[in-house]
Amino acid sequence: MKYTDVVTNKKTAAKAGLLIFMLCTVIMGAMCIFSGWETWLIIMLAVHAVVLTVMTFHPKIPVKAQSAVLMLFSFSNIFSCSIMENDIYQSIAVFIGAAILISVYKDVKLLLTYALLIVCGAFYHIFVLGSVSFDTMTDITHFIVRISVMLTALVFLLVFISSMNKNEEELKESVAEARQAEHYKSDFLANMSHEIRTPMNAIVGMCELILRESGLSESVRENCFNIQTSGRSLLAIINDILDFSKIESGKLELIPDEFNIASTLNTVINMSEARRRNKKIEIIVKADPDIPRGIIGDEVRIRQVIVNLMTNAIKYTEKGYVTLTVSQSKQDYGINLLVSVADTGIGITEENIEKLFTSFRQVDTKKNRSVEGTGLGLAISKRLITQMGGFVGVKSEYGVGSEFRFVIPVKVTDERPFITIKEPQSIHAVGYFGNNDRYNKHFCEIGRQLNVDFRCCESDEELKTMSDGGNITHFFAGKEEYINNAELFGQLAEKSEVFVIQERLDAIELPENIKCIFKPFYAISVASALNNENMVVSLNERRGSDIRFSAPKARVLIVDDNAINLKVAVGLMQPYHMQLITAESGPAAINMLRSRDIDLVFMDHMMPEMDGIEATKIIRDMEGDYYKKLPIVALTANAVNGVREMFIQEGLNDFLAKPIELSALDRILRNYLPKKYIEAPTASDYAENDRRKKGRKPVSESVMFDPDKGLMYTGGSIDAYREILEMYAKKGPEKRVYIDKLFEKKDWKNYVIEVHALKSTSLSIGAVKLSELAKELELAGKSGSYGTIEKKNGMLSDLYGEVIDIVNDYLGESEPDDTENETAEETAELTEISAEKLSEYIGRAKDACAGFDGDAMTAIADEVSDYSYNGKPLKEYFGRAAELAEDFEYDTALEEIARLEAETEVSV
Amino acid sequence: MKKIGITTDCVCDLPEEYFILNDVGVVYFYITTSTGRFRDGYEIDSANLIEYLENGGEKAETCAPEPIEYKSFFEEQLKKYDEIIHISITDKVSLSYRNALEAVKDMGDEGKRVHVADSEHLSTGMGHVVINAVDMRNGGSSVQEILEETERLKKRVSTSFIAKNADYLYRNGRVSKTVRDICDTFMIHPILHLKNGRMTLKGVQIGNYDNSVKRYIRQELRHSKKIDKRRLFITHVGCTVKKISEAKAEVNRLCAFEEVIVTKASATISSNCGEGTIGVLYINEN
Repeated sequence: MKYTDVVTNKKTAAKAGLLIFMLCTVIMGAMCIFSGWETWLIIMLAVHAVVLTVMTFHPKIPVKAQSAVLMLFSFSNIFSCSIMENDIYQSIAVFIGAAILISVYKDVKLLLTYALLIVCGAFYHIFVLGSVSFDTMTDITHFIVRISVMLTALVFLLVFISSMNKNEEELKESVAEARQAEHYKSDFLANMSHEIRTPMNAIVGMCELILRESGLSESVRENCFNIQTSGRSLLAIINDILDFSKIESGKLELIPDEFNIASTLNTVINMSEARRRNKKIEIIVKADPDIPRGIIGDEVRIRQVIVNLMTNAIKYTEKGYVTLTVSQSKQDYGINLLVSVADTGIGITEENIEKLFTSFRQVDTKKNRSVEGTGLGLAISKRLITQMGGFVGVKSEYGVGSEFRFVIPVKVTDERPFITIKEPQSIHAVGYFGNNDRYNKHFCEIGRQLNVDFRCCESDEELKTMSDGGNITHFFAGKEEYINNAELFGQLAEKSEVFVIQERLDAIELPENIKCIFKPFYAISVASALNNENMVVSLNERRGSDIRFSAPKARVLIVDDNAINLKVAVGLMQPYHMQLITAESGPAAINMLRSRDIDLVFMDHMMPEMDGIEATKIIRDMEGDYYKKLPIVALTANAVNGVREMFIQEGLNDFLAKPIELSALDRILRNYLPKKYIEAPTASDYAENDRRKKGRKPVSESVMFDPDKGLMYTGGSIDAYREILEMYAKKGPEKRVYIDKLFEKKDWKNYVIEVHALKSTSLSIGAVKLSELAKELELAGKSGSYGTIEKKNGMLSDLYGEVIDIVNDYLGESEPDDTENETAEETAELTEISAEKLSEYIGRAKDACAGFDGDAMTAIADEVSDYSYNGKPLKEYFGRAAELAEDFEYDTALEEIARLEAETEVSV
Repeated sequence: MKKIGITTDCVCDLPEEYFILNDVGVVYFYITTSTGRFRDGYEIDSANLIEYLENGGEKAETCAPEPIEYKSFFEEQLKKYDEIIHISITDKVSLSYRNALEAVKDMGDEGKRVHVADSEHLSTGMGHVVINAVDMRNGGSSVQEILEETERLKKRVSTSFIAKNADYLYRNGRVSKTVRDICDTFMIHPILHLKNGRMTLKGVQIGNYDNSVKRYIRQELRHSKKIDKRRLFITHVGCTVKKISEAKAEVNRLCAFEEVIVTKASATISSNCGEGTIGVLYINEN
C-alpha cells in the first residue's frame, strides 16, 4: 500500500465519521426540538456540525486534528443529551451508536475514555438526577440488564478493536521481518555470488590459458571450449542473481554512454549463435541501417536485455526461426530504439502471459522441464527497460510462437546511419536461395533498406539469365545453391564478387575467389561484403583463445605496494607488448606522473601510507586536463557488490578484481587505452607458445602449494612465475617476522594490511591454504575479532614458514633449462619504494651496523638493489654500507646510512 | 474499378492481425511520458501505461497525430490506392478528426481522394464502423456508398463501458475529487457511453465489482432482440483471463452472437477509464 493510499483511507474514514456524526446530530437535534430541551443545546449542535464539516473538507487540516475535534464534540453532544434526558435508558441506543462511531478510529484509549464518560453520565443520573429507580426488584433487574447490554457492547467493541489493532501490529511486524529477510537475502546473494564467482573465474581463466596453447588436438580444444562456455554460462546465472538482488534493493545504476548499435548486435549475434548449437533453428536479423551510429545508453544493460530475450527465444524454439528486429522512430529528443525478438516456438497461453515477468517463475514448468534457467531473465529485463524509461510488451499464440518487444528513448550524438554503402548506385546484386521465401524476402528487404539494387532468383535458369545480363556486381547464394552450381559461380567469380552464405557448424571450404558470410546474414554483414570488408573468420581461430591485441606505444603504470603483485600484473600484461612502469606506492606513482606521460594507471586500492583512493584524489587535483582525464583503474582483491560504483564515485574510472582475470584485463585495456595505440596481433602473437620446463615437478601431494594455479595467475609464463616464487621465498622470512611483530604490538591496522597482501601474494603463487588463512585473519581484523587473530596467528606464522620451505624446495628441484627457456621481458626501471619502506630498511641497516652484523647488512643491500627512492638507486648507499660493514667499518657504514637519511629526508 | 483503401486510428482497438489481413492502414496516437513519446499499440500498450501510472508515473499525456503526420500517412496510402476512406475517433473526445481534415486540406488536389469520416465512437464501437467499411469495400461498394452507410451505422452502434472506479476519470479532469471519493467510499462503478459522439455517464452500479459487471452486461443486453447478432466486442483494460471468461459466459447466457471477440483497449482509451474497465460493444438492428 502506498503512502497516498493510506492518506486516502484516513480521509475517507474521516468523511465517514463526519457522515455518522451528522446523522447523530440530526437525531439529537430532533430530540432537542420534540423533547423541548434547552435552546443552547440546539445552537451547540449546529455550531459543532458546521465546525466539523469545515475541518473535514479543509485540505490543510490534518485528519488527526479532525478526529480529535469530532471526539470532543461527540462527547459533549452525548453527555449534554444524556443529562437532558431524564431516563438514562433512552440514551442507551445513542451511547451504543456513538461507541460504534468511535470504533471507526480503532483507538482503544478513545473507547475507554468514552466508557468513562458513560459511567460519569450514569452516576449523574443515579446520584444527581435520581432518574434511576431501585425501588423494586424489577427496577433493579431492568437496570442490571440494560447496563449489561451497554457494557457487553462496549466490551465487544474493545475486544474487536484490540484484535484488529493486534492484527495490524502483527502485519506490520511481518512486513518489517519480510523486508529484513529480503535485505539479508540480498546481502547473502551478493556474498555467495562473490564466493562462487572467484573459483569460476579461475576455471574460465585456466581454460583461456589452455586454449592459448598450440598443438592441441581438435577434441581437446573443443572440450576446453565447452568447459569455458559452461563456466561462462554459470557466471552469467550468478550475475543474473546479483543483478536481480541489486534491482530489488534499488541499487542498480545505469551507466549511459555513447555507443554504436553495430557492436551490440555483433556481440548479441555471436552469443546467440553459440547458444543455438545444434538446434534446427535459424536466426534472422533485421536491422534498420538508418539507426544513428552514435546513441547514448547503457550498452551493457541493453545488450543484456537483448541477449536475455534471444536466449529465451532459442530455448523455447525447437525448429523454425528466431527473428531479431531492430528499428527506430525519430523523436525530438533523439530516437526511440525498438527491439523485437520473435520466434516460432511453443508460444505462451494467455494465463501465463499474466505471470511472465514475475521473478523466479518459468511458465509451464512441467512441459518445459528440459528448459534450463532461473526464471530471472525476463524480470530483470523488464526492470532494466523500465529504469531506462522504456516499455516491454509481449504477444504470443500458444503453439505458434511469441514476440517480445521493448522500446527505449535514447539521445543521439551522431546522426549518421550506422550502416552505409560505398557507391550504392554502382551495385547490382542478385540473391539465390532457391525457393526459400523467407530468405528471398529478407534479402530484398535488406537491399531496400540499403538503397541498393537487389534482386532474387528462384531457379538455376533465372540465375543464368540474370548473370548473362552482364551488369551484376555481386552474387549471394545459399550453400546448397552454391554446391549445385559450383562451376557457374566459379565463372561468375571471375567478373563479380560471389558470396556463399552458410552455417558455421557445417561450413564447406570455398575457393579463394569466393567469399563466405556466416549466418545470420543481415544488413551489417551484407554491407561489409558490398564495401569489400573481409568478413571471413577462420573456424579454428574462433575456437582458439581470443587473440590479444598489441600496443607497443602504450605506457601503462601499475601501482602496488606488493612486489609480487606487481610481478604478476606485469606478467599478465606482457603479451600486449605495452611499456610497463611500476610504482610501489601512491606517492611514488604521483611523482612518476609528474615527470612522464602515462596512458593508463592500474592503482592498487589498499596500500599503506596512502591508499589508492587518496592517491587518485591527489592526481585528479593536479593542474591540467591530463590528470582529470587520465584513466585510473582500481586493482582490488575485494570485488564485492557496489565496489565499482564506489571507485567511480572516488574519481577512478573502473576496477579490476584480483586475481586478475584475463578477459577482464583485456576489456579494461581495450576500453581505456587510446585507440590509436591498439594494433592487430602480430604473427608471433598467434604463434606464441608457453614452453613448459622439462623436469618441472608439481608438488601434487601438498595441498598447500599448487604451481599450476600459480602459473595460471601469472599468465602461463614459467619465467615470470619463477621470479615471483624467488621473490616470495626471499621476502617471506622478513614478512613473516614483520607480521609477528605487528601481532605482538597489537598494531591491528597494519597487521590487516600485511595479511591482506599475504592473502593475494600467496594465492598468486598457488599457496591456497595460506591464502585462505590470511583472508580469515584479514576479515577478523576488519571486524574487530581480535580473539580469532590471537588464536590463529601462530598457525599463520607456522604455515607461512612451511610454504616458504616448500617454495625453496620447489625452486631448488626445478632449475630452468637455459637452452630452452625464453626469458621474460623485464622492466628496465628500478622500482620506486615508499618513504615508509625506506625508513624500515634504514632502521634495519642501523640495527645491523649497531649489532656488528655484516651478513645482515649484506642481505639488506641485496634486497634494496632493485629499488630506488625519488629516482635515486638505493644500492648505491646500502651497497657501500654493506662493503664497509664487511670490512668491519661499522661506524663509517652508519655514516653512510646517515647520509642517505639526509639526502632523502627519510629517517627511522 | 477504383482501389479503395480503408484507414483508421489505432484507438479503434481492433486486433493487429485484422489490420494486416485486410490491409487496413493505421495511424498511431501517442502517449507522452516523462521519459519519451511512444506510439500507442506499437511501442506502448495499455498494460504498460497502467503500470507506469500505478507506479507513480507523473506525466502521461495522450495525443492524436499532428496534421503533418496525417498528411504523410495519407500520401503513403495514396501510392497504393485510388481513394481512401479514413474513419476517425469521435471528434468530441479527440483532435484526430480535425487534424485529419486539416491534413486533407493541406494536400490540395490530392486531398480530394481522401475522405475522412467521424465515427462518433471510440474503441471497438469505432471498430464496428471500420469492419463494416472494410466489408463493403471488399464487397465492391463505392466510396459514396460506404460513406453513406457509415453515417447510418454510427447511430446504431452502442459503445459503453463500466469502470471499476472513478480514479482515471478524475485524473483526466472528467470528474471532481469529491465525486471520485464518493465513488470510492460507496463502491460506485460509473457506466460511460457514447451518445452523439460525446462521452456521458449512463448510469452506475453499486457494490461488488464482479457482480456489477454482470449486472451491467445484463442491462446492456436486455433488449437482445433488437441487437445485431453477427458480432459483439468485449473490450477490456487489464482484466484477467478469468474475468473475461466470466463476462463472455454472461454474454453467451443472455444472447447468442455469431462472434464474440475479446480485445484489449489501447493505451489512449485505457488512460481514460483505468484498469478493470470492461465494455460490451455491439450494433443495434435497423
